[in-house]
Amino acid sequence: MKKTLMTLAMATVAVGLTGCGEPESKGVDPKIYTDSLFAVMKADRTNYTKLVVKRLGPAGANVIKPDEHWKDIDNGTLLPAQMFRAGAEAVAEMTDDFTYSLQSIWPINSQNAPKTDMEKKGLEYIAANPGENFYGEEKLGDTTYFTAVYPDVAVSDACTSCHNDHKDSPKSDFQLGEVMGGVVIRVPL
Amino acid sequence: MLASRVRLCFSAILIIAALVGCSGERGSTESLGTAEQQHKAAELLYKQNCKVCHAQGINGAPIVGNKKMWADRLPQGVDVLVKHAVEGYGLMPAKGGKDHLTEAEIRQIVEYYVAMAN
Repeated sequence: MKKTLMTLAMATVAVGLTGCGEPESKGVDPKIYTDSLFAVMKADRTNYTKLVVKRLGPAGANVIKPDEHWKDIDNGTLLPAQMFRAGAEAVAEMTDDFTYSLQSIWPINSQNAPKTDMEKKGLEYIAANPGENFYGEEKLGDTTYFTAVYPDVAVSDACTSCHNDHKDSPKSDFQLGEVMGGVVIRVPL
Repeated sequence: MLASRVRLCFSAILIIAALVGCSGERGSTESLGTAEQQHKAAELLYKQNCKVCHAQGINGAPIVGNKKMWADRLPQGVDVLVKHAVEGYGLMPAKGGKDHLTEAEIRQIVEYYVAMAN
């Protein structure tokens, strides 16, 4: 009987100690979260480019006109970068759980320039290290954010010619395959 | 007697050492070194010219080392993949816009992709 009680007590202590050692649930790693969001954004943008712009635009059936001033043109449609930005604006109307934006250190529209030091640092990093992402944490107000910056690349002549020839572009020598800006995804921690 | 045994053992060691030296080991190490150098040269070409899209999957570019993305591409064979890269394919512009790359260099890069996907 004594032995049984002793064993029971030891088992209880052991269970108690094991319970104390359990790691706290931490949720999704912010890097995996932002990488996953970027994967969805990238896939949607690629599909819009391939399945709508290329298929129905001048290189395909030629029934739509992708153009920066699409609203002013019959059958005009958004350029892939504009469609991407429209998605970011629609998400911003829905939630503050995360934000994303297309920015550049050479923006055509000054509204798309980096606004925080972390954004600037990230955009400079991805421009200097083609193919690499940038991750950091920044405190804005009382909230700490995980900020990820992913490269936005000139993938067609349409990208380079539009930016190089645009009167408001601060850079006029973009080459195909060059980093033109970045997608900034910010998540509160 | 002891001295002659020691001499015999010493001679045997020398013969074995000489045989090992003459074996194909050195040759295979050299070719391994060459393959490694080729792999590194291709990796450098990739980093300088292609990484910006192929590390990220930009515009659907198959990501280097992503076995899932390469699963349907590998069976097409290196020649077809090189042709697509040189002439452009889908959303990828000819040579990825890097006109200075030769077909031989693009083949090197494609072979690097294939190796990374296997």
